[in-house]
Amino acid sequence: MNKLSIYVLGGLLLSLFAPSFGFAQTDLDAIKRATVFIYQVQSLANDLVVKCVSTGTIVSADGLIVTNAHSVVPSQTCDGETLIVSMNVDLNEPPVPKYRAEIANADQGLDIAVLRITRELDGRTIAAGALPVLPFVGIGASADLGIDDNVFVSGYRDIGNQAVTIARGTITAFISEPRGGTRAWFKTRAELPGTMSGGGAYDSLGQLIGIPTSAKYGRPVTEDSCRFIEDTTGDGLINSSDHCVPTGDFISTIRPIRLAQSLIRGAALDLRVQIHTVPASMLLSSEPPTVSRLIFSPSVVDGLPSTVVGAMPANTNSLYLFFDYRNMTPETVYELRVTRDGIPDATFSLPPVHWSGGQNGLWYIGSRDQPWPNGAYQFTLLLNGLAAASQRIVVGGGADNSARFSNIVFGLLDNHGNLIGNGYILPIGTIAYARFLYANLRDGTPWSTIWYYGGAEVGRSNDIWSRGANGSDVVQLRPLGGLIPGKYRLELYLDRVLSATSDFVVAGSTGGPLPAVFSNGRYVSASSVFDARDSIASSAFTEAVPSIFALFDWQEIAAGTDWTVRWLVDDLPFFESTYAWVTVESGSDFMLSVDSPPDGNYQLQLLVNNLQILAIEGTVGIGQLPIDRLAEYEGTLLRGRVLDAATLNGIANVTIVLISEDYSASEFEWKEEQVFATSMTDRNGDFQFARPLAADTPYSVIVAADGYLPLAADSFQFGADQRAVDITMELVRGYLND
Amino acid sequence: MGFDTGRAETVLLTPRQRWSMVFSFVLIGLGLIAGANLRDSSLNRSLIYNNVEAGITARYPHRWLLSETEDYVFRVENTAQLGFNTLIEVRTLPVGPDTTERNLLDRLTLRRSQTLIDYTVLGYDIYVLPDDSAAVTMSYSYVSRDASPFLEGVSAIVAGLDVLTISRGQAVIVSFRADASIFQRERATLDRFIQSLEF
Repeated sequence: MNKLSIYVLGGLLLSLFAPSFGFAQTDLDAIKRATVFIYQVQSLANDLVVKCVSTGTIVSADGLIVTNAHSVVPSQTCDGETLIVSMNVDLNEPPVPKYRAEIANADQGLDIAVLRITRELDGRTIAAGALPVLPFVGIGASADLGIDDNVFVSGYRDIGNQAVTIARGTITAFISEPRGGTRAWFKTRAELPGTMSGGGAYDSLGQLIGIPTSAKYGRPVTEDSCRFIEDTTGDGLINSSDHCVPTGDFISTIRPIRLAQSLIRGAALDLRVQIHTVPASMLLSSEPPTVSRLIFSPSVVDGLPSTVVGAMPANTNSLYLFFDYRNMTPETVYELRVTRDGIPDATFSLPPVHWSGGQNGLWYIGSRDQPWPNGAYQFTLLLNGLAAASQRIVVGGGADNSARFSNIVFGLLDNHGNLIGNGYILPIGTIAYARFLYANLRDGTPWSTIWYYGGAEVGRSNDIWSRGANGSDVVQLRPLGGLIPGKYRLELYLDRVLSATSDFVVAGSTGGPLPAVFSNGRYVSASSVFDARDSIASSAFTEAVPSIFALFDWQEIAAGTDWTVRWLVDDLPFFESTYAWVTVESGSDFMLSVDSPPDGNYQLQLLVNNLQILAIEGTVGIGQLPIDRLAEYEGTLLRGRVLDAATLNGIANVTIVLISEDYSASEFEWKEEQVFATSMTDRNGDFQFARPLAADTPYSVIVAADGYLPLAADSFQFGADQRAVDITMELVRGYLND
Repeated sequence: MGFDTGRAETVLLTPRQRWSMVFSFVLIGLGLIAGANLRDSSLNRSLIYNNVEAGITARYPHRWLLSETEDYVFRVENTAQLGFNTLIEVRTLPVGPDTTERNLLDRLTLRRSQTLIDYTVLGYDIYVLPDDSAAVTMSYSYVSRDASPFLEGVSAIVAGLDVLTISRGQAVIVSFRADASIFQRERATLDRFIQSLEF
C-alpha cells in the first residue's frame, strides 16, 4: 500500500481560487510579463556602458524577443556589442536585468530585430534546453485591424525607472509604402515615449499585432530625446560630456507584426542564409541621401503611379506621394510632415523612421480607403532631420475631368500588334513598347514622351494629339544598338505637364512569357562552398545534411538592378531580402546556402521588380517541418505561495512537485517520468511553474519539505480560459514517521 | 512558640515498587531505542535501482526523486530538502586506451565551467571502494541559482564530489552534490550509496 494514501492532510489548508481579476486583466498581466527592457551596452575595461535602450517582447517560450533593430544592431548611434535583457520579476516594479541576448535575425530597413536569449547575465552560456519556459505572447493577424480599433501598447516609459506600462489608443490611419504594402505602418494616437520603441502593440484579444517604432537621429541633443545616466568619462560628474542614451521622441507609428514573421520564423528555425557569390550588403555611397521629383498619384499599380495629378476632388480617399531617392541606407532616417491649410496633420504624417528601401529608386508613401479632408496639403520630406523636398496638392472641388494619361505598361509586340509580357521587365532586344490609357483629351493638344535610361534622357518626341478623347495607345523606344540591361523610365507630358510616368527593367534574354534572367536553378548538398559547385544536384535530400546550397545562372543583369531573394520552408517565408545587383551581367553558379536545415519542403524564389523569375524546390528529410518546431505553447500559468500554517510566513526553498495527468498523488512513485514539472519557492515562499498546464487536464501536486507534514492533493484542473492561476498552500510543522 | 525539628521518616520501597521502577526505566529505554531505530529505519529506507543496459545496480534513499536521461544513467535527489536538493548522479563515459582519470575529470570541469556559476575545483583524492579498489575523487563547489527569472530565489553554495573509477572499458562517475553547509552531514548518504553500488 502506498504510504502517500495515509498522508495526514488535517490541518493543511489548500486554497485554490480563480483569479480575482477579470480575464482582460489576466491578459494584460500576461502581456506585461512578456515585455522586456533591453540595454545595448559596450564593454569598457571592466564596465558595461549603456549605449541604447528599447523595449522588447518575448514571442516564444524559448526566449525569442522581437524589438526594433535600430537600438540593438550596432550602428553609429548605438555602438554597443552586448545586449542585456531585463525582465519583470514584479509587475509593479521596474524590470531587473536577467539575461544576455544575441541578434538572431534583423532587418535594419524594416527596423525589426529578433533576439535570442543565449547567456546568463554574467555571460555564461545557457545550455540548450536549460532556459526556463518564458512567458510570451501570441502573434495576431495585423491585417484584421481597422481604423478606430483599440490598440494597447506595452513598454517602459523611462530608462529602467518605471514598471512596465500599457498605453491605450486607437488606430487612426494606415500608411502605405513599397516595403510593406498598403499597411506598412499603423498610426495611433496612444501617447508613447521613445523608450517604448520596440515594444508590443496588441489588439483587443491580447494578440501582438505590431511593434511601436521610431528612429533616433543625430540632431541636437535635448533633454527629452537623450539622457545622461552614467559617468562615462570617469571624471566623477554626470554631465553633457558623458555619453547620453538616446530615447527618441514620442512614437505614433507601429510596424505590423506581419512584416516580422519571416524574421521570427528564420530565428526560430535557426536558419541563416549566406550569399557566397557576392557581398550581400549594398555598396553604400558616401554621397548624402537626396530625394527629388515629388509627384502625386491617386493610386498605385504594381508599385508605380497610375497617373500624375496636381489636385484631387472632394471625397478623395486615396492619395500617394511618389519620389525618387538616391544614396539612401538603412541608417538614413526619413520623415514625412504633412500640413493641411498650414496646420500639421498627424494622421497622414510619418514620424522619423529608418529607410526600408534600397539605395536608389522610386518610392511612394500614402494611404487608401481613408478620407482626405478638403484643404491645401503640403508634403515635406525630411532626411536625417533636415527638410529635403516639398510638394503641394489641393484636395477639394468637383470631379476631375481634366485630360490625362495613365496606366503605363511595357512589353513587346506580337505578330498581331498586341502588347505581350509581364508589364515591367523586358528582355534585351531592339524595341521597348509602352501602352497607356488616355482620357478626356482634345485633339490638337501638344504632348510629348521622354525616355530615360539610368536616369539620363535617351529619347524624346513631341507631337500634337490626334487620337480622340479616350482610349489606349502605344509608344516605343528604339535605341541605337538595342536595349541594354538596366533601369528605364518613361514620362508622358500633356501640354508640358507631367501626366503619367512609369519605370521598367531590361534584364535577361528572351525566353517565353518572362525574360530568362535566372536559369538552371538547383540544390546541392556539400560540406563547403568549394565542394558545392561540383556536387550533384538533387531535389530531395533524404537524410540530414550539414548545408544545402542553391545555385543558379544569370543573364544580362545590369549593376544596380534590384532583385529579391525569398526563401520558404513549407510555404512559409523565413528569409526575404532585396539587393542591388553588384556582380557581372552574366554568369553561372550564383550560390546561396542554409546551414543545418531541418526537415522541410524548401523553395527559393528569385524576383525582379516584384515578379518571380525562378523558383527552386527541394525537400530535406521527410519533406515537412517537425510538428513542434513552430508550435505555440498554450495553457495555464500556475504560480502561488507556500506558507507556514503557524506563522503564515512564506517558506523558502520548498520543492513543489506537479504530477502528470496519468498519475494521482497516491500512485506517485517518485520517478521523474511521472513528474509534469517542479518548482522551488523563492525567499518569499513564492513559486511559479515554468511549464504551462494543459487545459482541462487533472494534475496532482505533492509538497514534501523537511520539518513539515507532507501535502498531497489531486485534481488540479483549469479551463482553457484561465491563463494564470494563483494558489496558496499552508504547511504544518511536524514529522511524518512512516 | 517552639519548633520540633528532625529528619523525616525514611520511606522504604517495597520490592514490588522497586521492580516497577526498574521496569519503567527499561521500558523507557526500550522505547527510546525503538524510536531511534524507527527513525533510522525511516531515514535509511532505500529502494533498489537496476539498469541492465548499463550494468549498474544501487540502493538509493526512499522518496528521493529518480530520473534517467541521456546525459546520465540515473540521478536521485531529495526534493524534501529545503534549499538545494541533495543529489546523487551516476554517469558512464567511454574510455580510450590513453584516457586517464584526470582526463575525464578535466573534461567534466571544462564542461561544467561553461554552465555552473563560479565552478571551482577544490582538490583530488582517493576513495576506497567496497572491493578495496581505489577510485579517484574530485571535490568542487559552485553556486546554484533558481532558473526562474521571475522569482527571488537566493543562490546556494553547493559542494560536490565526483567519485570516478574505470572498469571494463568505461568510466563510472558517481557525482554527489549537497548544500555546502550540510555537505559533511549528508556525506553518509553517499557512502551508503557507494557501498550498495554494483557495476
